[in-house]
Amino acid sequence: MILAIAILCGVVGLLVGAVALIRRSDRRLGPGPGTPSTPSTPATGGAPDPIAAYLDRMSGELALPAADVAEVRAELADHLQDSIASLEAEGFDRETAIREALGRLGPAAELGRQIRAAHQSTRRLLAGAGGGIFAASGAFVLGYIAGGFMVAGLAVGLAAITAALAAVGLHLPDLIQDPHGIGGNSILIVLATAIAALAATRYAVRTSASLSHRTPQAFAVFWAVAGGLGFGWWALFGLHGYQSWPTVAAELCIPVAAVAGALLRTERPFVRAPRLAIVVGLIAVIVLPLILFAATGVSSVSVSTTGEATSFQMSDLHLDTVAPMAPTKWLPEAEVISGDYTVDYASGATVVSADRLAGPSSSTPDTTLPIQPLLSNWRDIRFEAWHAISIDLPGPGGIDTHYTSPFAVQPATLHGDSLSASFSFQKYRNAGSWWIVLTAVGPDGHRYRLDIGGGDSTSFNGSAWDWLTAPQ
Amino acid sequence: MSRIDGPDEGATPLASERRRVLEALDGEVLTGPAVLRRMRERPVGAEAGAEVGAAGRVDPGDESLLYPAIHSLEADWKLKAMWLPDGNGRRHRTYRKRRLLPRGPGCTQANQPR
Repeated sequence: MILAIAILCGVVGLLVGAVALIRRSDRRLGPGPGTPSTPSTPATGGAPDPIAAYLDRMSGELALPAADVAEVRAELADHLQDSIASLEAEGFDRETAIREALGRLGPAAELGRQIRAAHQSTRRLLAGAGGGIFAASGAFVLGYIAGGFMVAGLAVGLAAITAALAAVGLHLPDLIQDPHGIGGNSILIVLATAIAALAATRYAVRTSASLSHRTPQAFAVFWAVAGGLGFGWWALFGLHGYQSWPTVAAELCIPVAAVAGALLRTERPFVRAPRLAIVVGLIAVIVLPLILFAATGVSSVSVSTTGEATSFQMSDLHLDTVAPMAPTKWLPEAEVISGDYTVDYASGATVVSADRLAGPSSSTPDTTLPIQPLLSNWRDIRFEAWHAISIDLPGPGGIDTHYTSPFAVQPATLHGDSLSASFSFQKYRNAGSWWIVLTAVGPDGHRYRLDIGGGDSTSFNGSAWDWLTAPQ
Repeated sequence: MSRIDGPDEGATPLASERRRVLEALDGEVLTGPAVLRRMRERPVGAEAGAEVGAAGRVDPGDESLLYPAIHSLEADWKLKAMWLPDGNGRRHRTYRKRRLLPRGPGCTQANQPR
């Protein structure tokens, strides 16, 4: 409890500190209303104002954040006014006084370079690096929250459009509720992460520039490389979950967003939308979809199920696609091989096992018998995993006859009175619905099926790298 | 660099200018021009930095290192800069020395730029 409160306080403190730092950086990088402006010096006789020209040349060498440039210009203009007034009091005419005052400050470009060097100290560079990391952390959290709201609005909008189209008879796949399909839910979460990555590198650049008194361009490449590598590694190896090609593509957008955040438009603040536009946008994203939902009826998108029991024949499972059933001379009719499977949630593996049972015609059905004596008739005993008809569809499921070979095979190993094997379906890109059958080669040299098997469906679970390197 | 070094080869012109700025700002809040006037009032090496510019070979009309020195001192946290209004309401950038501890009683500090 105390630990949770401490963590909460730490996160809130991080966010408050990061927001304060980011706002301070925004003020420094863009001249705000409080920044003193350069006092205007009237031009003499239509000729270019020598003071303004001097300050322009000096400013061209500064390469400092905008607020610092404005301050240095204002300070030097103030100094020159003071100096010119003193010289005029000593009897110099104005033109001579201006020339003398400018001459005392030295060449404009050299002065600009020296002031820049004075500002851009190593201490400030280190402060900029540290502040950039701090701001990136806070901006990532805030960006993720903001991105979450944005994608939630997008999801509601998409759902409303789907509902509206369904009402007019055009049914689209439900991307949000379909974890076995393209993983729309995962894509939305990844999009929120991409927005967070963009915010993180953008404010890392701006905060580093502000604290180190450098221009955002000076840090853009560094943070683009750091953000691209860091977020790229995370997107490839760190994000685990349901995967599909669209999800992987969206995940690979995260480092792209990080690089874009560091390189694009970092010298200017985000475009501030007028309050009216924000209100109208919120109405468009949230209220209108709700009205659409109400008008079309949410029930129109749900699939009704009657729950009616459907009888089916063994042939409906298309098990002969795998192999013919073992002849009774090698697999007594009074016995059956019964398979079962369990999912090991720690590793995600599907563990299949097969037992030799006394058959229904036996005096003691469902009695487990030693499987060892049976093995004398068989060799190369193995579990075969076949693509199957989705169990979500009406019907018994069974082997998908579009395939002529199993997509995974594991040798059956004897453990006590059972044969078992382990499959990692969650590491196959297209495992989807599967059906596992125990097969073996009989004394005649042909492969036979020893049981009717069973099936289920599994979604890919892993990182983008796992997906890219996964077997089909 | 138009300023000429004194006989002490170890000190750079910017370093000696920084020392003179710190001496000029001792305990006061001053603008850049006021710092310059204060520096001109004191001969070079009059105080602790006597080893620098002992010959006083400084062109009084050269102000090229004043602002680089002031801004580098600010970057090193030796000076604190503030924009303060004068009696006419015009704002000037002012500087004062940073201190680790607050000044003791009896010490006064100008609150208007000079």
